[in-house]
Amino acid sequence: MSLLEVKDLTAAYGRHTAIRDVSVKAEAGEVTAIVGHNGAGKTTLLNSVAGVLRNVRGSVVFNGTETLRGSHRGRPPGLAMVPQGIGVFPSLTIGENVKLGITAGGKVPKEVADERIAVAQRYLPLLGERWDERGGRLSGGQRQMVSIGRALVSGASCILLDEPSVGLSPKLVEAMMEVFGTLRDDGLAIVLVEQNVKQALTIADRVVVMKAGRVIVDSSASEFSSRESLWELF
Amino acid sequence: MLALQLLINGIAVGALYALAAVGVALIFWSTRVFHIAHGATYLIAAYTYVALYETSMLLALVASVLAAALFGWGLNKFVYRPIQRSRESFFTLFVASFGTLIVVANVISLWAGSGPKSLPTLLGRVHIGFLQITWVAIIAIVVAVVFLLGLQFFLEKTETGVGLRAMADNVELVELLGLNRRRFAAVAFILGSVLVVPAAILTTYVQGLTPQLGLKIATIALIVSIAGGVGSLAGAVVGAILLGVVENVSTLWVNASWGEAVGFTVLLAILVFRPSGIIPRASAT
Repeated sequence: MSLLEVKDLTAAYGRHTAIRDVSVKAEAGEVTAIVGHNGAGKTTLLNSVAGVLRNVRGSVVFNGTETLRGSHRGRPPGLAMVPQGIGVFPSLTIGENVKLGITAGGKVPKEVADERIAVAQRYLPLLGERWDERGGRLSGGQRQMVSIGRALVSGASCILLDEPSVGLSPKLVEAMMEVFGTLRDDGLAIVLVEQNVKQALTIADRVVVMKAGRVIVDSSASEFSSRESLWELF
Repeated sequence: MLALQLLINGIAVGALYALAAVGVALIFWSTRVFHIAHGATYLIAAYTYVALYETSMLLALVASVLAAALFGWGLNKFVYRPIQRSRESFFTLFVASFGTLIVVANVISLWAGSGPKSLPTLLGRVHIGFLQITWVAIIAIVVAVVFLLGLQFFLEKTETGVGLRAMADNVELVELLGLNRRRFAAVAFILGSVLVVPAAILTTYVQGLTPQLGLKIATIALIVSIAGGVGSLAGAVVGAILLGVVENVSTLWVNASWGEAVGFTVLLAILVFRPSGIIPRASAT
């Protein structure tokens, strides 16, 4: 069984159905890229899986537990989200921003929390270097790193990333993709929503293409890269 | 000497205003509810204390704290949250809050009568040279300092406190991260409500109590927290002390009955020349 299995998911904002019958899987140690144009329903899919949206039907099974119904309704432990845009609280220090990830992940002993912070600082040295600085003083790329660090310390085995490259320089995006690659190699499942298909393909293992709220392609990254007809979708 | 005496009196009054205003600022800061029903919390705390203090002051104090906390928590859970869930506007919340204050003040009038209630003088005065300082004033200043430092410690050093500061920055992001926004809001209402308890009890010892005081305290707390800088806790404290001091010191030149008007005029002038308040939230803690 996959770490994350989304089946026949339909989500709506009021009467407007944003995604319909979407099925996606994410495996541990893999990057699943979800690509598509604006309005394709990528962010809605992520928000539905993360338990942010309530008007959702279908099934989301994470780590063997159904998260849309029953007592585990909502965000399951082990699933973290890095939202689109500036995901940092400006008046909080970087340390406080990152530690909120531990709060979100559920209570853990202090030693476990300290260990997670140390691991996150190894992946993202910036966190340690500027631990006591206010989030509002950071650049866009640095804020994104803090946001990723916060997801890491939550103890996540799967991270949902919503267009993390938006507004960043190509050099920063490259550095960030490298971090995602390392996390994947260390066994994390990464679901990466991207508009920039080329960028996503640099680290993706699977590619899911969405259009008008539906999945129209679900293939391995190598197959996707080799089929020119798929590129015409963009 | 008289000026110094009035200054100390003003600081004591301002300290009590600060406890009321910081509660409102904390609640607005983290939940975006303009909580004018804070005046109702004040009345509930004060009337509970007056009803029980003859039995035992400690019992009255504990009951007062519990009643205020329960009222703040319940109002958020059963009135504000359903309105927020239906995505109604800021003004709907404000009207609901205002309505609650009127209902509570009227219920108290029916139950306890609309006439003034008073408490016996507490502990008398201390003489320092020419100065005469009431023990209530000293207690007010000490309690305000302890409560405000305690709040500062809570917001800086605890997980929930940091969560409340995160709510002040970006409520939507708190939700996106899977943090428990409702728990943080409940804590803000309980804390904000408990902060008003010492103000309610000590003011009753000095000025007595009527159901009409709820609206007056709510007005002071709201105006002070706006003039201090909307959503700025430090601003609310400075605004409150300023109001208390101006109200008292101005009586050197004008009749005492004008003190309140002079105080509010100063706050109004601050808003005209500095619309973002004394310490705007962006630069406040």
